[in-house]
Amino acid sequence: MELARTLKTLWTRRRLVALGALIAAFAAMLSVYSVGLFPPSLTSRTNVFATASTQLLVDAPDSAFADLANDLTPLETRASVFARFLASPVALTLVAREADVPLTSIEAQGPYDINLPVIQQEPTAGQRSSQIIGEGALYRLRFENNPVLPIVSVFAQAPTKAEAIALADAAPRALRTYINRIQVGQDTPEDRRVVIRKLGNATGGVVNAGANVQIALLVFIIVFGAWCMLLIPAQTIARGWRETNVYGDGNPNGGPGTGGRESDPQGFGFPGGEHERVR
Amino acid sequence: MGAFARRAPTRGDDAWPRTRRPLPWLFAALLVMIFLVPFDAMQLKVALPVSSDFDRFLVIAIVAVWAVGTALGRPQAVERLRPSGWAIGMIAFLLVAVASIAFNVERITNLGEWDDAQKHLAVLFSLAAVFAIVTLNLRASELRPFSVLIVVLAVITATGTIYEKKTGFNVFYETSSAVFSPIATVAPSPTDINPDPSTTPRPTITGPTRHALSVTSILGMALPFAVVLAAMTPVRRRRVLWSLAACLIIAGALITQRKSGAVVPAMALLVLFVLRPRQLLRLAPFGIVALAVALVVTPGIFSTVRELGQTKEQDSTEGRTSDYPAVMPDVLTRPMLGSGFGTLDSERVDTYRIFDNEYLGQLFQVGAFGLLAFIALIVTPLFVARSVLRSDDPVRGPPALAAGAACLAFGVACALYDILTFPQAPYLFLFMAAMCTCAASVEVPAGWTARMPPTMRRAVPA
Repeated sequence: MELARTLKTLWTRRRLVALGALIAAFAAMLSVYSVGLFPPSLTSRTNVFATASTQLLVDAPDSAFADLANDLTPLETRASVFARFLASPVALTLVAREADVPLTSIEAQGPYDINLPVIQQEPTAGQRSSQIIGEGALYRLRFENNPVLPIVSVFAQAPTKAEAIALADAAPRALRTYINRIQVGQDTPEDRRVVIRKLGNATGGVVNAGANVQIALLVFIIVFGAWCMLLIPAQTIARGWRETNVYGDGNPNGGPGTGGRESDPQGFGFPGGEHERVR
Repeated sequence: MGAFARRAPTRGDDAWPRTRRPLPWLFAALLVMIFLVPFDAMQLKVALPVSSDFDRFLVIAIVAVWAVGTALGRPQAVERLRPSGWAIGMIAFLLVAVASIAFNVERITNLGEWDDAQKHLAVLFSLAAVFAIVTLNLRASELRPFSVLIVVLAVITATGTIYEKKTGFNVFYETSSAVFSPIATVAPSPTDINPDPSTTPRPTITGPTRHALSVTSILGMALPFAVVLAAMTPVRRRRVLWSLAACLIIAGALITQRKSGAVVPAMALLVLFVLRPRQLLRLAPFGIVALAVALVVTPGIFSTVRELGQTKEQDSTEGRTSDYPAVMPDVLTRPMLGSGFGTLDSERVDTYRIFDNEYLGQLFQVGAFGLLAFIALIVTPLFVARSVLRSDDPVRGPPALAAGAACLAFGVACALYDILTFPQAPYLFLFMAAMCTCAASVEVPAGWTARMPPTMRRAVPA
């Protein structure tokens, strides 16, 4: 009954409903596009992005994995240090050069100690401030390291699949370049040099294609629904405004002169006194 | 009492449980699911576009039955007028939630948070659908039967939770796993009654939920119904039984060893005493007797209360207070509409904090506008039911009082943990909000509203 009455009311106000559809469509467009006036343009606000990942192994010249006599602990310790170093500004400069992207567009995070209690892993105000500044970066890197493995995982995000793969592949190269530079500068003997091995080429793909349509549709439905819901009480108020003369301007519970049944020309026929309770 | 405004229930009312209408039975199933089934730990073996969570199927069933009933239903003899503005809190919150996503769309898509936002929006729409359909279809004559059902279910939950604490056996998870195994997978119970003190300070007692705080919330929200039923019944034997039920519910909440287990029921009781002091004081002797019996039934409850003040609890308190400075960068960056509804992924502990306060979480996600809308969502049921909260009408007054106290208990629980992360309490809150609206509604013969002048169509209870 109520639904039928609502639909009937909306049908009688179909021009306003159509106007609501137009407004909702405009709001949906604004939710996913930025509108430029001079010159007229539409720029997508949603960033379709791709991700890619790879891993790098911290190893010895004679691979420690092929020789049971080698202790992996020093390599695990170094992997942990390198994972932290990769998120530093020095490393990011090298990564930006290797990947051929602007340094200012790169945001790096990690590694995080997953063995700590949650309360110690959660970001403080200072850490969160840094994260907020980096939220707009189009190129993102995240490094993860398990303390008992000499491996660093690299996760990259970029606007296209090719750029994401290039960014992920750039991290091991940048680390290798930096380590080699130190080893050459310190004249480290060949057999004592740390070797960075990339465990295969980075792989990736586009992640959030289609978010544009979903968000626009959601905004359209909500705005259009809210408009239609507002039309019902708005119509009631408008009609009430027009019909105030039925009761006069005074208190409807007042005497005959100020409104009430005596001045009710339509004869609604409520049970005696009941309508007085409805304010 | 108005001729049409306040009708006493009669046999001809077709009211639950003496009805063949499917919707009230689905509402009862919803309550059974909230109190007895660990539905947020269950995945049905059928894929839905958004999620295969157990509750979505029940919500879809409720919406489908309502839609079919609306399309095919016969005209009814009675028309129910709800107080104006009953849905304003929910509508405002929905609007702000979507607006927060629309305004933050660049950030959300860049950080890959759209999937999280989508899932949370689906939950919010489920909650809104349940709230709207229950409000539109619940009848005043069904308020008391549903109140009784809530108390009975809460007593079962409390008993099961006490048993869980004593034995380590979670009857809700184990039974659900056995019953639903052909159609759903149930995650293992998180119960741990003897944890390693160095890593976990307190036992994990969750009842039918995933977290102890969640079970304490639903028990705390059910408590006012038991107390009100005890206070309003004229029969002494029933009064004793309802008082016992209330004590069992309190014991079930306390046994989880969470401060919220004491705070939420205490606030619910306080609200009842403030609103109806004389009726509630009559219960004092019964309360003392029932408390003694409850202590016999659940020995060790005093040690549970004492354990609430132990040192490890201070870590929890420090964790809560440290949330306030940590949220400031986000609040100051996006003060009005927040970071976007549903983007607070508590599993990404390196990026987002688990706020032990839903209000703080909403401030983070939907900003100041969203926080105001969220508070409006909690307060609206009390506002619409304000005229019946103290009413002596046995059909509407006591259920409205209990549901109103439960809504306030929910508001208090919101300040104690991230309550929207666990679906039981939000579903129950919206059911109680619908009960408040129903209690304050007015019934008129069908077709009368069409003949009323618009200025008189607002249903304001006497």
